[in-house]
Amino acid sequence: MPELKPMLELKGICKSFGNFKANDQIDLKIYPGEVHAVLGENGAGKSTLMNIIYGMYQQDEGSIEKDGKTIYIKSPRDAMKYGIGMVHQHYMLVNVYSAAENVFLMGNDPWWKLKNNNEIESTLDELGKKYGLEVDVHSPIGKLSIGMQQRIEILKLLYIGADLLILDEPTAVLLPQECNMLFDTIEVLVKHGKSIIFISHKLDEVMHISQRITVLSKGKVEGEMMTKNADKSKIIKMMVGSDMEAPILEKKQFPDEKKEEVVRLKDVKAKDERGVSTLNGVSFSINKGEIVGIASMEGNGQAELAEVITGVRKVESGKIYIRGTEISTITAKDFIDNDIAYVPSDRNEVGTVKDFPIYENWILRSKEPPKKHKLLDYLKIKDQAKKAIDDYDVRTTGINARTGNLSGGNLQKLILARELNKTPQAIVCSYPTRGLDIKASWFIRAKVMEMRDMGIGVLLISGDMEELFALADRLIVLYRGEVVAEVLPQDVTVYDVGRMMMGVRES
Amino acid sequence: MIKGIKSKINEELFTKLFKFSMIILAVIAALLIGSVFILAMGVSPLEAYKQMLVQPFLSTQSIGEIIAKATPLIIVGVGVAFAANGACNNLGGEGQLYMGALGTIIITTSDWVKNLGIVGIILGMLAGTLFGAIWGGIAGYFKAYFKSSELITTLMLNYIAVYIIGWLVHGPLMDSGGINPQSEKIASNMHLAKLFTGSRAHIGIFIALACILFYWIVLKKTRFGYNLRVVGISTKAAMYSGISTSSYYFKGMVIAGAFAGLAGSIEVFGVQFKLIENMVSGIGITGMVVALLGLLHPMGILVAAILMSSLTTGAEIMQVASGVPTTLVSILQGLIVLFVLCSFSIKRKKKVKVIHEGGV
Repeated sequence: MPELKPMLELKGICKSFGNFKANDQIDLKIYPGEVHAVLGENGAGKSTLMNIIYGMYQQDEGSIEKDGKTIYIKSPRDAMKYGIGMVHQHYMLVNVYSAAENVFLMGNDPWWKLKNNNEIESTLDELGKKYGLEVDVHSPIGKLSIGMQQRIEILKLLYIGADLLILDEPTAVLLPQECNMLFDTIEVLVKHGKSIIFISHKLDEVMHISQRITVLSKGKVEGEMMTKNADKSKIIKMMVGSDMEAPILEKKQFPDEKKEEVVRLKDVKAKDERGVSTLNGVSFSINKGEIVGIASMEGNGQAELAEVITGVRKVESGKIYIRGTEISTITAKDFIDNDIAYVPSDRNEVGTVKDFPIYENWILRSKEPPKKHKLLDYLKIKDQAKKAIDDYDVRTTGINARTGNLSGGNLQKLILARELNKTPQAIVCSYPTRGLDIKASWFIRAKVMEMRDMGIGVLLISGDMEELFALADRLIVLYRGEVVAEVLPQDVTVYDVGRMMMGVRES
Repeated sequence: MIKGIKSKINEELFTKLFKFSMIILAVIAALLIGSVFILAMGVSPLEAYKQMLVQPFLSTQSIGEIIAKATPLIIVGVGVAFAANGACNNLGGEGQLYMGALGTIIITTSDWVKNLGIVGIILGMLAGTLFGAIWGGIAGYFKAYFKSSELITTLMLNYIAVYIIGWLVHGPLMDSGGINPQSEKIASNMHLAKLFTGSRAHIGIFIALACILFYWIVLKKTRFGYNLRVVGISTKAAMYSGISTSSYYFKGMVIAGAFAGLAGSIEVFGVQFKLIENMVSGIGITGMVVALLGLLHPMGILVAAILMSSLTTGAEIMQVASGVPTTLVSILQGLIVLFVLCSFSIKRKKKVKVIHEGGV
């Protein structure tokens, strides 16, 4: 569509933080009725650029034109005024309010205007019909599914009249079925002349949904192309640099007589923080040298499962055996002593103490830290930590750095290094690549495979279906705290598993 | 040039220096506002502050007084700091001090310890420590297993302790030979030796210094101290590491109580030699202030204790010399604490160092 004028045009955008150039001479043209994917690793400058368009930051240099006119976006409210809206990765919705109330909160009404629910609701219904976005406008947001919340976020932007929608990793938290619904919605939106900036790590969906792709790397535009002319492997090279290769992932199957059980759960029940029973009698085992994948939607017991297998959470009833011996679940100590390692999903608050330096975090969850004359031997501890950050290529100023200052990928590498250093029998990895970019994810995935090949039993909990299918030797599907299916990934499709995750039992 | 030096200095140390200079500023601000009160009394603030801040360090007698006053503050401060590292706020120093003093008196005035001399001192200190530990431990137990706020329980336990002592010195423990509400005195062979004549300073200061060393070693060099700090910063990380948070809350409060009890015991052996009402008034709370002002750092606690005790000593000198009442020092101490707490919220502007995601 070369004859069209761009809806939004960025010219030579630069933005620095201190000495660091987050955006360096970025040009970007968004045409009306087009899905424009912006790809890049963490730190490539995507977020900074989007924050500039959305008015959270102001550019140091360069200009922004909307429909041919130069505009100055000083705040998100300005952005909305110009018809630019953003759906953030974490939804900006008040959980106890209904969709209509949330929309009112967002609206540009003067302060004296009273809230007219009927008016808002009928407008939302109208918009919903027009764009094929069916939502429940009455229930509190917190009661709705993630997919529904996302549709409300989009509706909210349409309500205030946005014609350019920025979607920041919109599929990261969705089920495969919900993704398809989102893609349908995007197609309708585009048909009505709206433009979408689509930010994602997942190349397959970008190839599927977008018309144009811009790849950012190190704050610069590395390439821009029409999707139909794009080549996947070339894009990956652009994103991660040419010196990296994707890990080769292959499955392993043991015949029954060669299986050696490490961990076994028998009818395990557990409650979450609120006292709600979220694990309702789960039984399965993890064998040496295999990766067991857990597929489930958030809130179906997978978080509690990870915690009971590592002793962080007490079981209400049921038993946990490690190499055939039953184990007490009062604290994690027995599990640590029995060599169960754990990479928790919350790297900052659980997996590390963020105010401690790296070397002190090195002995967190350790069985027996190095000692000399009964006192902790920090010389040795520091040596080990130093070696680990070199071996795992953790980028930091040194072992005295606070772990709170490490980036997600580096922090995850540090935790993984620490947990593997104890030569575990089994390891639980909870969302190990969540929020990480391609390079860091590859590294972590390669390590997970390596662990398995070393004979460690791995339990992999992930929200990323692609990852589960690529890594797991066996998949267990959890729904409402129960095992609804146990399948081999090569026997089923992503959609089969998606259905099971919604409670449909294996036929 | 500056950049080079900066990178050499440990980031952590830099932040600490910044915090320290903020505290100094807070103290100066408190003194400035205090001068308004002094002016209102018709006295030159410069003259009064000279009496209060400089004079105490000019005679051995007043230096001795500073040491004598600092001794219990250091020990209580160490205890408070222990608990604070494990996320417990011990406001119960007062009660624990009294209980420590009580334990000491009960043991040392009993017939079979009376004439043991040095052994009696050791037994008395052990008893004081134990009594204090129990008093702190009660609050710790309630926090650990009933989730009651230690802020409230320790405060209430203070009242209980104070009134128990009041009743005891008027009743069961009252010296049978005297008419004053006080207990029997301990034997003179159990008095702690004086540092130098003409002052109240005694060798208890060495015990206080040993406490600081002990604090530093336990906190930084042992698994116990490590676990305690993990609990203090993040209960989630503690559970992840198999550390029972409630047991560490309990242990932290027991230790806090033990140190305060020891301080009470040393007050008996070094200064008071008997049990009376109001004998340790204010030390418990001031000890907590010392721990906070000292940023829970071993050296910080020492410096803060000397600051607080020299302020009080100076105030006494000032009152005699220029007629400004010692209560001014209470105002000043209050102001200092207020400003220092405010200064904690001032953060050094950090230049964020961006470290790029590691290429494998």
